[in-house]
Order: sequence, then C-alpha cells, then structure tokens
Amino acid sequence: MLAWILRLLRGLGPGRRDPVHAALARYGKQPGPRETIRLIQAYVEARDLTKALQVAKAGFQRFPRSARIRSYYLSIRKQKSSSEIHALRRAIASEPRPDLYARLGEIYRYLGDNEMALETAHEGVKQFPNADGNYLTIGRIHYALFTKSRSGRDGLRASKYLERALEISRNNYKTLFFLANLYGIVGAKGRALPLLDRILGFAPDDSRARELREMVSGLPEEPLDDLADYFQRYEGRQKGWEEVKTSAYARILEDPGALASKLGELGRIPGVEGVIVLDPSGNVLAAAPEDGRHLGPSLHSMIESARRSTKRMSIGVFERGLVLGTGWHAYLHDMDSYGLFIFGGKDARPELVERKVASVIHEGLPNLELAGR
Amino acid sequence: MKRILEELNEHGGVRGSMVITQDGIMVCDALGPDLEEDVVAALASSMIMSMRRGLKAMGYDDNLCEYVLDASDGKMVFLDMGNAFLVVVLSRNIRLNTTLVEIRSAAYKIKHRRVA
Repeated sequence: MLAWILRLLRGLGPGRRDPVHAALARYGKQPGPRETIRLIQAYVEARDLTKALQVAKAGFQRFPRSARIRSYYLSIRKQKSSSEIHALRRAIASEPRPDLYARLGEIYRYLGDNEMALETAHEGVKQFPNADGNYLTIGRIHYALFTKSRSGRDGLRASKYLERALEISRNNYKTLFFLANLYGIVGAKGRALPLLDRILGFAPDDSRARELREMVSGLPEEPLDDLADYFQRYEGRQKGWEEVKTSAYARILEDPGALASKLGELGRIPGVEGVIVLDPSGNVLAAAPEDGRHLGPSLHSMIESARRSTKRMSIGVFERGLVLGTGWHAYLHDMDSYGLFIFGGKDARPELVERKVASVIHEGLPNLELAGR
Repeated sequence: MKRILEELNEHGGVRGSMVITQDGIMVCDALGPDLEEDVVAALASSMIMSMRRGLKAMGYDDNLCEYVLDASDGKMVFLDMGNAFLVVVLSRNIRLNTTLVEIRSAAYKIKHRRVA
C-alpha cells in the first residue's frame, strides 16, 4: 500500500513546489505519524485535496489511534463532499425525492456525521415512508453504533430499521447483507441464513455472502424465541468477557519499560502532579508518584461510571473526560478499556495535556493487527 | 428555567439539557426525543457522585466546577451551579469552545434567575 502511494505521488505535475516535495521526501524516508501529517498539510496548502485525502486515508489505516490524522481525514473528506452536499440540499429544497434524501444521508454517514445523517434520513422517512433507502441509512448507523458499543439497544434499533427497509425492497443486497451480519453477530443463526440464501439466490457467485454463510453455518445452535433476547444475551456475554483484548495499547501498557518511559514524559508536563494507568480490571499498572497506587479503586469507579453512562445514553463509547475544579484539573482517558488518569494544578493546561497524550500514547501506536497480516 | 434550556438547545449540536440537584433529582429538562429523562438524570447523578468520591480520594476538594466528557458519538457537559448541575448532551462534531460559552451563559442565567 505504501509503495503504491509513493508511486502515485511521484507523478507530481510541473507546478509542484518545494513544500510538497520536501514533505514527500521525508515521508518516503520514514512514514511515521508526524511525516504523514506534514505531507497532508503540504498537499492541503497546495490545494490538492485528492492527494491529501489519499495520504490521510492511508495514514488513518496505519495509525488508527492518531487523533490528528483522523481529524485531517474526516475534515478533508468533508471538504471534498461539500459540493455534492450543497447540490443535494438545493435539489431537495426545490423538488424533494426519496433517493435524494437517501444519498444525502449516506454522504453524512460516510463523513461520520451521524447526527446529520440521522436527521436527514428521518426526514426522508417522514416525507417518503414507503421508500427503503432512508431506513437502510438509519439501520446502518445503528449497526455501526452497535458494533462499537455492543449495546443490545443499538442492535435492536438497527434490526428494526433494516427489517423495515427489507419489507419495502426484498432483494436489496446491502440491507440483506447487513441484517444477516447483525443476526450472525448475536447468534441468531436461523434468522441470518435465509437472508444469505436470498442473496445467493440472485447472486450465486457473491463471495462475501458465501463466506458469511459459511461462518454463520458454523455457529452453535442456541435458538431463542424473541429477537430482543438474542441482543440481550449478546450484551450479557460481552459484559462477562474475561479475556483481555490484545490491543495496541495492551502491547505498550503491559510492557513495564515502555510504560515507565511514557509515564515519565506525561509527568513532565508543566503543572502535572500525578499520572496513573489502570488495566481493564481496575488494577494499577503504574503510578507516578508511586504513593498514588491506593487511588486505583476510586479511579476505576469513575471511569466505569463514565463508560456505562455514555453507552446507556447512546452517545457511543467513552473516550476522554476533563474535570475542572477550584485550582485543579483531572483528565481521564480510555484506551481500549485501559484507563489513563492525569491530574494536576490549574497550570496543567488542557490543550497541552491533550497534545502530549496524543503524541506520547496515541501516535506511534501502529495497528498491530494490520501489521501482523 | 425551561425557556433558558430551550434557548440553549437551539444552538446547533445541542441534543438536550437538564438541571438536576446535587442528589440527582431532576428539576427541569429540555431533552431531545432520543433521550429519556429518567435515564439521563440517573446516569448524570451517578457520574457526578462517583467523580466526587474519586476526587476526594485524590485529596482534591470535591467542588466539581465543570466536567466535559467525550464519547465516540457525542459529548456531555456538567456545570456546577452551586445547588444544582446543568447537564447538556451534545453531538460529536460540535465546536466545544464556542458552545461552552453558551452553556456557561445559560448556567449563569439559571442561577441568577433562581436566586431572584
């Protein structure tokens, strides 16, 4: 993938100036997060959004924990889509059609703006209740929320809208596939297989449907009466999951040497008085200063409360929190179920702490799952 | 108070707001259709209490002036108004710096309106 990008980018036109060339040379030598960001910035300044987006997308795949790269990726995607968004809005205002709402909702969903996507799609459903596209958009958003939150509520909402889309259009591939996948995830084998058979009925060579059918067929037979029970069972199993995920954070945070080095860097932020890292079970992995270890249970309770609440309020998965008190600040970060706490006086400026956490913890953590392929 | 919350909700990206007492009793709410009052009040109260316990254990005073929470699909802001909290649920992509100004302004109006 990297070699492909470099070949593509070397086809620079005659108008290109040094900033892009210099950034490309640095990126070519060492394509780390900083070099990726500089190259994106160079292309943006050169107004080449197409290449900026290509680099940002590749960077996001290689460094999914980099908040800055993610931010650039989403922002550039949004800029590139803005002219189509304006055209669709004008078209809807003059002559609304269900496919226009569906397309606009899909663009917002693609851009990660779930709120606008849902608002558009719900409006489309209200205006055109017998068109399937908007139900599909809503269903896909709740499906994506479900895969992150693992909340039965999100999953049930996804199934409700996808089923409605299916009632209207029986052989829509996307609806059938997402619904089958959803049912497969929660072990509703008897519901998933007929949907996949329907796809294979009109697209017998579809490899995705075949592979999914094979996986679903291999699931154990654990039928339940009600659809809601499948989602409830699934959610219960996720909560009882004992195995620690092998994540990029685990590889760093469970390595005492790497962890001590990162804690040292965070501890040197002006105004910071203490840093504590908890593992997913709430045990203190490291604390600076050491006498902060006794805070483990209280901090675990704080972050668990935040995790539960964000899930139940359907605002997704808890990522970070900033608490301001009289003369002190406290920061909470969730890193794949590990917890990072930084606390200090009011000199510990939020923007500086965030930047440091991003560079020390998030950036430079490659996607180890991708690297292992 | 409801009018102040509704004016706050008119700002882009605000999904709903409510005022709860320090004990988690809801005083007033203006929540969007996808937010359930009882659930939000109970969860907000639980978060504030666990936060205070943690802060006390850390040796800080438990006067929580402001708590901003980021999640993958939204944000929440808790603002201490003395005897009550203003709780605001926001969408993910909101510009927090400018919205916080509006939220603090709403809290000021509610607090002084109550005193009056």
